Amino acid sequence: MLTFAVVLRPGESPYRQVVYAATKAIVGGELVPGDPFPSVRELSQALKINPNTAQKVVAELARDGLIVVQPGLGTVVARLPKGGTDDKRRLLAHDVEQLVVEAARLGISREEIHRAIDSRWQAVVASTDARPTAGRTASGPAVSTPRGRR
Amino acid sequence: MNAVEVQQLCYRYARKTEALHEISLDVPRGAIYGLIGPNGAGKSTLLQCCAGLRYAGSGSVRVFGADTRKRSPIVAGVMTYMAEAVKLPARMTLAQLEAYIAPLHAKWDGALAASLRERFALDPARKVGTLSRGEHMKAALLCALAPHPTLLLMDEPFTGMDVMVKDDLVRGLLASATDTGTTIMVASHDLTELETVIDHLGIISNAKMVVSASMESLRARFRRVHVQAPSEVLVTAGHDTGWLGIEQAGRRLSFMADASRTSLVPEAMQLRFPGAEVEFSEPTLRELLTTLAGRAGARSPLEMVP
Repeated sequence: MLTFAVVLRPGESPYRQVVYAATKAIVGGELVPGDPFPSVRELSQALKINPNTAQKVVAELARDGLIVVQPGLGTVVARLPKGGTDDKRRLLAHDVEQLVVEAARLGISREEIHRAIDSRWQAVVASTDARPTAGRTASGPAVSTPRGRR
Repeated sequence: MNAVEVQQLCYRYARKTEALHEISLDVPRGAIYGLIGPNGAGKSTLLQCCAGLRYAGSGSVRVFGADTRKRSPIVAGVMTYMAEAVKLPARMTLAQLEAYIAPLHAKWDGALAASLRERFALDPARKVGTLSRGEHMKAALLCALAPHPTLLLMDEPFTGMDVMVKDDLVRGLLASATDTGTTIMVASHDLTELETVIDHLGIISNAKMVVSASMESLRARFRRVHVQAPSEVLVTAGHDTGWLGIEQAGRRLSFMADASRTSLVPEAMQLRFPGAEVEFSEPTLRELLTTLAGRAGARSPLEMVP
């Protein structure tokens, strides 16, 4: 029913879980620019989440520039910006630092962390890197999942 | 203005102990409010007071600003109420039942009734008495939603229903909440159904309101803390007033931390348990219920919850 996969688990706010799943689907190329993004009603019905939560998810993704809300036409996935801005890099710096601290504490080497990041990057984002800008010809685990289209 | 405002409500059944004691709660407009608590806590009595079917011994219940004693919300047509184990007239067909109920409601929507019938796969020619329990519940929800209530009260709608029926009921409710902004107040033991659906939570225990707040504020305030220590940890109850529902087994310890009374900063927890792995999770409804409801009778630090 939805164009991306979400399995909600208890113990974390549904809002954050859905925002994360949608973000992952967009950066991973499961949803490509121009794809329709589910409406508040569709999100709420498909995931059985509170409509106010679904509304917050759409607002958050739109604020982050991942989707574009076109009144009357529906919501579509936006084109991802090339290269992060300084603001965004600064935001990420905190997460990177936490990762480094945690790795050092657990005695994980720099090389191991690099390898782990590379492998996650391959799994999540690589299919979009490889894809020609024009079309949706890329294949890979992220894109091969069946999806309903309107 | 809130959809429902209950202030200092007390209710006593004849010659018995108090069923509700100084209950106060607000249900904002457009909210889906979940009311949970142990059996016999007073959930049904509270809903019946909100529906104007019982009047407060003391205190007040206002629905959209009007005192239920002065204006019955059901008669005023702003509310529908689905009683626990509701029984519809068995000898009528669903079509006859709809025709019977429709004139009682100023805003009965025949088209909505038809679309709900289709959504719930109900045959209008079937006699109500021949419907399965699940179909009977769906028919009752149809009757409760088709009059376009501004407020819908439901008492244990999911009891005894299979997962498919629960899904249908929940989706029907969500559609109504999305399309017309219906405020919903639902009492249920089915915490997994409520988990992602409600945005406000009330916990009632032993005739008292333990907590009534938005899920957002509860998720910000309470955290489940899981500690895996290098050696056996000993923590006694009351060690830190902000720690509730402490469970420990050897080197594992877990408890609910109340951010308004204790620090939830990971570094602070790391200092408290040197060398331990500390993880946080957001509380589930089940954890909130078991931790908070158990404390209602005792000298509860939560009685002053805003």
